[in-house]
Amino acid sequence: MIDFLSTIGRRVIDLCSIAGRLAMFVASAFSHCVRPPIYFRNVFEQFWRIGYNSLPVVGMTAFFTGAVLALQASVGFSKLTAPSAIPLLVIVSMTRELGPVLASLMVAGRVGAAIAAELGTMRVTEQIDALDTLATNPMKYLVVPRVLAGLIMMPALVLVADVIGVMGGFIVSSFILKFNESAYLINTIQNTHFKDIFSGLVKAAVFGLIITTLGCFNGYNSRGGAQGVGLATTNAVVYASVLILFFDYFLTELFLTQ
Amino acid sequence: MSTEAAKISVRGLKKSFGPKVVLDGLDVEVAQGESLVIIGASGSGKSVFLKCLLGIIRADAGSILVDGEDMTGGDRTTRERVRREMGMLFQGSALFDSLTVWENVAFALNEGVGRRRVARVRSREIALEKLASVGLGPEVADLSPAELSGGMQKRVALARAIAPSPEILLFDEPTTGLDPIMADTINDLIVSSVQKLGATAISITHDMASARKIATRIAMLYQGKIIWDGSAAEVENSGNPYVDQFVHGRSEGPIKMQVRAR
Repeated sequence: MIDFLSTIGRRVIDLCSIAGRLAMFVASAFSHCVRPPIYFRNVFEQFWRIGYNSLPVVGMTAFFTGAVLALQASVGFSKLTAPSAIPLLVIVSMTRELGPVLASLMVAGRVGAAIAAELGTMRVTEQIDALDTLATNPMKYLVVPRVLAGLIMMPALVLVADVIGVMGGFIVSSFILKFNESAYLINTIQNTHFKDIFSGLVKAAVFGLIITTLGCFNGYNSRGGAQGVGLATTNAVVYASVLILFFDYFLTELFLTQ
Repeated sequence: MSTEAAKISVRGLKKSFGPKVVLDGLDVEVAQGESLVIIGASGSGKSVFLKCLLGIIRADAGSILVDGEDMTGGDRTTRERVRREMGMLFQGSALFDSLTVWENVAFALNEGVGRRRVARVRSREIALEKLASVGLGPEVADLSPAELSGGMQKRVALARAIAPSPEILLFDEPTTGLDPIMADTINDLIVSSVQKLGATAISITHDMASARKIATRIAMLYQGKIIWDGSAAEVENSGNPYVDQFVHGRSEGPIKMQVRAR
């Protein structure tokens, strides 16, 4: 019984200590974002790697999500209501939920893992210490560019995902279900609301921050060689994915009550 | 020697990781232009001492004065300014694998804060000069560090450490993992570059051949304290049983090996 309680206690203490260190890390990263020097070359490189290079995986995800939504909806609705219900369902669910959440989960796997592995390897091979000795702050040189890229590129990726998702729904609706093409487009435009898109982009920015800060935090604090880097990578992806779903709920609640 | 003359003065330095005491009141002074080699068994706290000196690890107690300025204080700008006068050769070279060899060497010139930035063309010229001074030709400049052998990586790392002409050079086990010939080459390069810069050097090693070659003074670290300190010549006949055991590499003696790294 005592063993059992002490195990719970130790876990809780560990969790609190990680949460505290993460909060300090995030605060430090943000404060470095607004204090010069900013390494613009690194920032643009991360824009490229986190934004542009994620386009294929985000595009594929969005396309098939939109397509499967249309296909599922065609079964659920009657022949009469389906042609107008499908575009409504696709545009609303893509912009509000599936665009930001699925794109972010894919990026968490692709980018979060890469960041944690890269920074983790740099930590265990003393490259981060070497930056310090060369009068370069590793927070500014490594962390700030990645966090900024997550914050700015994730909404951009989600915007692309929204468009491709609608296109996926359009293709299934028009060429497989043989519904009227122009009706689909008109219905889509009528049901496109700024608030839906905006809420999706805000979510994307928050998720982008979660992915990159957790990747950086886990990599930056990794210990103990190859195994430590592996653990950091796993933690970065798992924690980011869980936090994305967690924050998604509360952001949705926030936007719905307004 | 008097305190005023000391380039680096360490007093009562203490550092523990949890219950494990690593540095237990370490005192050492290094004069300008001196080359101090700290010897000690694995796990005696040598690496932790170097990292405290660099300000990467914060000591629990004690002071580190560099040119009379306190590195252990809370003032981050002082710490960063003092660190700018230091160059460090890491045990595993710690070259940035995302950059080419010459970009590594010129890193402090291109990216370092507080130094006057130099044009990219000029910084490449400087990098080539520094590479030449460690015996590497321009053909390696555009390679990636991963394409070089361990000894070549060490040379590049040395060139990177000396590129900003620091006043203090720190060497973390400079010959570990190298063959005896390459180790001797690195030792020669360390001696010549320290002399050329007129720098003050602190090295940590357990390689006695390297220590004899680099050092003007040798100190022995044991259980977080300096237990012996003398000139490079005196180390052979120190009369100290701990030093004797270490220098002559005997398994029998007063020193008990540490099992845990920290």
